[in-house]
Amino acid sequence: MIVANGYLRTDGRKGIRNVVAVVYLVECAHHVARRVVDKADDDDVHLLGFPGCYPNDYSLRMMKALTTHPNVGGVVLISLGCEGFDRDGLAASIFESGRPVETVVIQEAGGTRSGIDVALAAVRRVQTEMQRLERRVPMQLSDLTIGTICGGSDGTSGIAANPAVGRAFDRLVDAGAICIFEETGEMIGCESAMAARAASPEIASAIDTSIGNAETYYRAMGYGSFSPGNADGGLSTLEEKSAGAYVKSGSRPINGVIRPTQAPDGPGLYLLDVVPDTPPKFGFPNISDNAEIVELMSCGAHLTLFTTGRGSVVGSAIAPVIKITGNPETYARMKEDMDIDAGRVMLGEATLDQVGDDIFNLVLAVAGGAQSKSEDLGHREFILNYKTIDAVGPACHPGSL
Amino acid sequence: MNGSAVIVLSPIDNVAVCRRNVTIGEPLAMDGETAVAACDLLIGHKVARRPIPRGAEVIKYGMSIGSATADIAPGDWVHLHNLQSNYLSIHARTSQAPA
Repeated sequence: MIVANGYLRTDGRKGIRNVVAVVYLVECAHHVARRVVDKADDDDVHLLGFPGCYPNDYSLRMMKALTTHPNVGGVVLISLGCEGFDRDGLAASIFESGRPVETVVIQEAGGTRSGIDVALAAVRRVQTEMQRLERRVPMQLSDLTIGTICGGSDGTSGIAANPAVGRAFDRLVDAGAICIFEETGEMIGCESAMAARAASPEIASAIDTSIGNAETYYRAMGYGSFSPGNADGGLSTLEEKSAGAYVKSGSRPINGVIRPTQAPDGPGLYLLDVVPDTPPKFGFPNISDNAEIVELMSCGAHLTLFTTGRGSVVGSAIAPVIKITGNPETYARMKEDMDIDAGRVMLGEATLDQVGDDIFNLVLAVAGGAQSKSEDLGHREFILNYKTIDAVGPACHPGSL
Repeated sequence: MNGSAVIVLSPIDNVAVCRRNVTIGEPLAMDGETAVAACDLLIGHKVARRPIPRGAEVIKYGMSIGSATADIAPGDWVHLHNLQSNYLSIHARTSQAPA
């Protein structure tokens, strides 16, 4: 099934958007980069960045993965000049990917005003080069990678929105897509059920290890999982609470455990393990929902399914976000921000299968170019911070062995 | 599509979940099985769909979410008073494993 007129990249991957990434390489270059994006006044020019001055292997790997994401067609790097980020290494990897890339150094350009002017001209040159290189090709469902997260959850998430996403994930996996779920810290207690779905004993063992690792990490951070409010809402046990988040993954076999920046090497369903297996060093594995979305994108996610009960408004740079709420009141109150009303399940107006079909169909439409609500509202959130985590997950697709 | 007050999340589940607040005595249709609410039930809370003997696993989403600590009849509220977690952390399992 052809779902989109995609953008073919020289590495063979296909994008559903054609974004120019304007990237600040330290907070000191953030203002210039933001002004460049404002002045470009183009929905497809997105702002990314890393705030830290000290080099960090994870953030460099993340930036390499994100600036060569299938939805990105060209890049302008904005450097202050003295930060620790390996800007030449990043520029080289973008160049090797076949994408146009330019680097603007504010100190060399003569400061803020001329830095903005030089960088804006660079954006225009990159756009011209992208037009010259553009190759549109039919994109199949099997060319798509879809991630899922939850945020601002409430009692309806585990009843309506998350199970509906699970049904959509089953349909997407059956059609040959890559689907990725994550946040092992919210799945403590589900490891037996997850391991039973693993495609191989090696993957089952890797799942068990990842969950144990998450448990250790969050305990060290002093972060408990089950609260009295959960019991008030009807949840009785830790495993029940975790199952409510885990159910987003659907029911198909789990084909691998991957880490941020690691793209799955075959179709199917994958667990993204975002928790470092070292003692806490830079804090929480992900400090907000967008940090999770950024990690899903680093594994190639073309778009993200975001379930929310209380009502998140976020979108993302690079890859569209589709928001699904299971709370009918949230939908009524925040209709402009919500793509899918899974609250119909709570009201008895739709089945989980019907809402799952709605999600599946919307994935196809957004892949085909339709704007998601957050995209249309101009949401282009992005966050990247320090972290230490291995580049390669403990077990990947059995077909790769 | 039925307008039942409860939803069964997986066919093998022995509990259903309230989509809205339920009043004692209300008949509940649970995907082919029926029961009468044994007490008032709040939205998001669980109600037994089938008899669950003490010690048996309570199944939701097709997964075990713990064990019954008392005999549970269809229509009964299932929560902290008659359900306990079986979860043992991986560390505890490891430390209890024979050397």
